[in-house]
Amino acid sequence: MPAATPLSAILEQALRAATADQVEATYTGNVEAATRFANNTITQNVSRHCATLAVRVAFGRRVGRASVTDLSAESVRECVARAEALARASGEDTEFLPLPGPQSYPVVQGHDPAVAQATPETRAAGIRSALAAAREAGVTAAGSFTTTVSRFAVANNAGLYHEQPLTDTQFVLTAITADSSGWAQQSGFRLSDLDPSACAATAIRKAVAGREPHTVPPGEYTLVLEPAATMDFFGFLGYALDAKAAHEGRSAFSGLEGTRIGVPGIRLFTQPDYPVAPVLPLAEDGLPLPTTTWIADGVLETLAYSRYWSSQSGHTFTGRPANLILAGGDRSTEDLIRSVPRGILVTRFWYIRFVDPMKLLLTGMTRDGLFWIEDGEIRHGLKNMRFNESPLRSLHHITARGPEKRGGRYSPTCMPSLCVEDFRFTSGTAF
Amino acid sequence: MNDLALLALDTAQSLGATYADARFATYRRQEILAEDQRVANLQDRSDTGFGIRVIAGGAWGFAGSSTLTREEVLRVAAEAVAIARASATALARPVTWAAEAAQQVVFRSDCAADPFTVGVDEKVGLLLAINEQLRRQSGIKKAHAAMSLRRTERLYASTDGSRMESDVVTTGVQYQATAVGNGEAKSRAYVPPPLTRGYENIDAADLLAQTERVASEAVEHLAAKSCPDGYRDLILDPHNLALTIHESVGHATELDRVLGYEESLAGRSFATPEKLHRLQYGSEHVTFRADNTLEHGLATHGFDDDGVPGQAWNLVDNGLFVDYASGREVAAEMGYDHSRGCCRADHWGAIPIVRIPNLSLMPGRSPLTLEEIISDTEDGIYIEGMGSFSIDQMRCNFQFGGDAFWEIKHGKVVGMLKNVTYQAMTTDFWNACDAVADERFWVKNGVLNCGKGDPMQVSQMTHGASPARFRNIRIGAARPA
Repeated sequence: MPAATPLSAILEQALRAATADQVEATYTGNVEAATRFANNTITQNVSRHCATLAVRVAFGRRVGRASVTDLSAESVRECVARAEALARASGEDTEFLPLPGPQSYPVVQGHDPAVAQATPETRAAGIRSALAAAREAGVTAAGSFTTTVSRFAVANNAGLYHEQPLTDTQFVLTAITADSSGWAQQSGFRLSDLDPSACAATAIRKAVAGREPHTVPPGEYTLVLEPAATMDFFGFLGYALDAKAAHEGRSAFSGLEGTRIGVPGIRLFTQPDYPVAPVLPLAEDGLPLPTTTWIADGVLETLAYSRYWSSQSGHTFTGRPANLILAGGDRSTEDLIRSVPRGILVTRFWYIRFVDPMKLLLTGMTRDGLFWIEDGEIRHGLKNMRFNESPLRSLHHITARGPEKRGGRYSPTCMPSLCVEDFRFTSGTAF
Repeated sequence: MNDLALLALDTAQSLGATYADARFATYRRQEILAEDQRVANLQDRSDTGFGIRVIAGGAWGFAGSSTLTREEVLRVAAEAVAIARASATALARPVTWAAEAAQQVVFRSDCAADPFTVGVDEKVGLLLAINEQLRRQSGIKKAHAAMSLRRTERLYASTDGSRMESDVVTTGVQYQATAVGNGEAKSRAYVPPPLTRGYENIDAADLLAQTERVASEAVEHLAAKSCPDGYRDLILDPHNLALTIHESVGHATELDRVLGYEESLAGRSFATPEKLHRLQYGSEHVTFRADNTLEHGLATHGFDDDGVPGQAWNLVDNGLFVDYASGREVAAEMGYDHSRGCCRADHWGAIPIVRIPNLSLMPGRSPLTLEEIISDTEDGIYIEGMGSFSIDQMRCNFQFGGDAFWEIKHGKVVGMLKNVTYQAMTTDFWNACDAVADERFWVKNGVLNCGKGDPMQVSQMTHGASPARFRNIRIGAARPA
């Protein structure tokens, strides 16, 4: 790990160097390793150690931030001076509030020594087993095996201090044939959460089953979304929860707090110590990240309140949805498929973007495993399609929920497979 | 740093590397964001470190660190070689790459006014003044203005004998006014081209002169008719075209994608090698020129992170697909004798990958103005600025929006529309191009946030264009049900 010096000492150095009314220092140290493969061979293999000190200072409500990767004493002093110079020359951040004192945080178990001890050979061995399966099946494989080891610490001159280690690891594989592809991903904070051979087997099975894909016309279909597709699509709810934007009339959620926005049984929440998807238990200004239920039994319980907007509105502080968890149901994904007379199984979506944020209207493509379901059975692969649809509309069209699975590429998420009716595809593509 | 770079190369070679390069880089970033009269963000980041890339046992290894000491260089060089040896255990064939003569290059972008010595009060004051002017317009409920100032200093040394240095400053500024009412919110933005120039690229006079128009168009946008559903002739302005070029031509012609290297994340491409010199990518009006020597271009950095100097070449020539963007490894795989110099890393701790070069739609050769194109359009829409964007992983089916949409009837702009999207297949779209305005209307817009790779890297490149017309394009499919 970077920074042999205790983190508290580095942060203390920054606090001592400051002359501002208020000062906060954060340390982020990461060791990120990624082995990438394509065309059945390792193509990239990287590791980087990076430590960053970030300083935020305030003179009244004039705020400046600076950061540096050189953690020498001189550099830390220079970083603080730079932040202070910015703050002195700036206008006011009228939403800045006094920094909080010492806090209590939920205990987050999100660090696995086995991830920290993983070597290039650990990753290569997993990849070799996956590539052997791909060669045996006659498909081409591409993917990656990544590990991240993080240390985070924050301190301020009001007495707040907290340190948190986290690990993360992911294995992802796309299997390709001449006219189809299949995809699978596993992620967790423990190395034992990954089974590259099993992951490869899932992706290969999809690619093989999807050969000679058919075409279906654009229109509204009943979908079975696998967990990754659920996260891709419904994860956008998390980007739109900001209470201030909603109260200012600039959000799809304007006027919806306390109203029904989905079918009964839907529960969407954030919980920093969620066992399979732990996240940093800190929110804005170092406050503890609360557990928050955003949607309870289909009703929008609360939007996301920043510290400032909470103080203005008198509403409880929630912070942002760091991990977004959609509670699963009591049915298996296979049950969901069996319940569909005519519909489409979606492995995942790709390149989803807002079309109209005021309606939470999104567009995107299906990718790496689209299948036609008839009379409760998967019949054949389909060519990919573009959708234009809103998760706000689809929340009313969820008819069944399968088991939750952890995923999320950049921050942990946990969502189930879903059966969703009346999902709108608007065009097809060439493959 | 020169000494540390040589130490890195010597160490890697002594441990068995058959090739090594070392990159030392410092990134300075100043970001300023004003929300109405609030300074919402003001930060200045400095990030220094080094990366060592090696070939050992016929395979790639790479390691980097932010600790600049001799001991850390020795450790990182050894780690890079150990990683390469692990790569070699799952290798289909040894790495080969296009040869490159040793280069000695020093490159500095134009920078008449160092953006980091311009007073912070002046920069913050400009953004607050912009927002104040935007908020004067009745109906505007939110104003945002942002400035991004970047400096990248880079030292590159390789066991090929290359020693290169670059110092590139990038500046960009933009603002947006949002009108709110009747359960809707609509915006209008002003985004002058970001360029590799100094603070002289931040033209305060022009920024302040546009606020009244931008704010009033945001209000007009709120009251505009919804996009019709059907097919229309589209006229796209250079800023809207920049994103369409980027997604449907730039990424589609990256040779690493074409050869499968990016399958696991960004995807592949329909523009496969057997289509070279056969595929009519666009109409005869369409020539796409790559140019990493383009003056003030966002991808103009002197040389790439494979040690290859910047070059200029056509990817599509009068509609015909003729070439790719490449790095040394994928160039060799295609049998090319040299790379096009497009391999760039976004960070000292990242490996170089093939990135879109500065890539432009060349202007029409005959005199033609935007007004003449509009007056020659019976039933169409003129789209300005960037909006929603999405494209499939083979770069075939795309859907784009925009920032402002003007309905054209009988050769005249008759009013504004909202919620316009256009959807097409890439080659159908570029073959529907029947007019491109001439060089007087050619603008070097660009992209500062192009994501690619795993781990994700963010890069920048310029896309020049003149306004162009596309016949009979599908619009409105994205309307809410």
